[in-house]
Amino acid sequence: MFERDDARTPRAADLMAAYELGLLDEQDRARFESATLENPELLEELFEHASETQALREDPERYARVARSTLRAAEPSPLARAASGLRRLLSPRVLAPAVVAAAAVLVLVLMPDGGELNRIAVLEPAPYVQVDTRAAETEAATLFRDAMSHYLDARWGEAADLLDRALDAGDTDWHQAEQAHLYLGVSRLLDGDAAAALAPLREAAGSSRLPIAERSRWYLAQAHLVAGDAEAAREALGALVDSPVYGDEAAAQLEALTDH
Amino acid sequence: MVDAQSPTSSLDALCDRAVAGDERAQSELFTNLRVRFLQVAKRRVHGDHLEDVVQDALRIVLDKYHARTGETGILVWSYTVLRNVIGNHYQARKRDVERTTHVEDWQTFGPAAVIVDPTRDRESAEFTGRLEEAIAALARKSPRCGRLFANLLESFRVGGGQREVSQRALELAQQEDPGLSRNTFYVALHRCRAQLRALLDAEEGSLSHV
Repeated sequence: MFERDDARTPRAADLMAAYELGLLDEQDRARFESATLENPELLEELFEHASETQALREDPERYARVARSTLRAAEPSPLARAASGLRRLLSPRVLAPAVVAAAAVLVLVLMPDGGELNRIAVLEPAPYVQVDTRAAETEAATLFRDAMSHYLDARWGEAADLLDRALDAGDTDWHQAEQAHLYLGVSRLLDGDAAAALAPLREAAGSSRLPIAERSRWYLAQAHLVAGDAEAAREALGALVDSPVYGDEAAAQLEALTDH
Repeated sequence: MVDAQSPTSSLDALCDRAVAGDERAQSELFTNLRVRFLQVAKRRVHGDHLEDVVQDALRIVLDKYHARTGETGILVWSYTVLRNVIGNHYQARKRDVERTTHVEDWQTFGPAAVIVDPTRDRESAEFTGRLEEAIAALARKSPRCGRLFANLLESFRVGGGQREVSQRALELAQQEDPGLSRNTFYVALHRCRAQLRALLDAEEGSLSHV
């Protein structure tokens, strides 16, 4: 029934999202469910992702807010839009050479210079979820937990101070040290001190745990951008282009840095 | 014998009738759920325990489905129950091993620390953060998917029945792409959902550690 008998009829597998999110009408739901018995992989998909489906349906506002704020943050700045528009105008097919020359002068004026690299930077807090633990806490862990409470309340300065102290209090093999370095760097960056963010982010970027290393490299690149160091930002971003999480954003920033 | 493959009624329609007191619909619903529980549980639970795990999950679904709130379909909701029952099964087996090998340690470990409500996700705070991160990554990676999800979630938020929510989501998507048909919308949604899943898989465990 759901086989692709014409170009407009989707296969059952293509209706997975519409089914699990409750968009199909009664007839299509029944047909999809029937197809799940012929194709157990559909059931596997439903089962594997049942929790996130339920989360999206139970608290849509929360996740819509995340999507909208990310989309807003990704919108090009007025300067970038102006530069992009002028680049299009520079096409010889659009304008006569004399006009091209005049527009080129305008682009040179409008293109971001070294001091405007921070316009390229994305300054969003790294997500963090506080998870209660039942085990007895060390001093370092207590300081870390308190620091992250400040972090979640966007009190970057207080968070950075406590993370600094947590790192001092932790043993050399403290298991949260890499996270502490990462969030210390992010906190300093968001607190407006990009230069001081570099050292802890470099430390965390050397982590053997890929999620920590990649996230740290991303924020390291942002710190370099804010500090006006295009070359160092390019190096940090270059290490991220193959990342499934940061690859596209890193490539986009590298593209934006082409003229620097 | 109920035909579990019969496409005449969806599981949600059966559920609605069962909640209204239709015992035949309830019997048919649970026959259908059992088939689908066994299908996924047999890949995860040893044969000796398979029937017990599935029966436990079905019993919880039977106890709770009348009082179920929210908009999730009965199959997806039931699968979250099964996921947690399977998780508790693993916890219990691990505990049995610890009990025999580390008796003193086990005695200091309160049972509340390992028994989890099987109708709730096991690690909800961590999970929520991971899902937020994946949605943000999706919106950065594919703004079109980000907008599609934002519009769909907005339609969920406004609420209404299936038809209303679905139609509103389609109309919001058509504001960007006026030629979008309902089927094309579903296919686009499926592709964006697949990207979201890939991002979640790529970040598996990262937020709990980062």
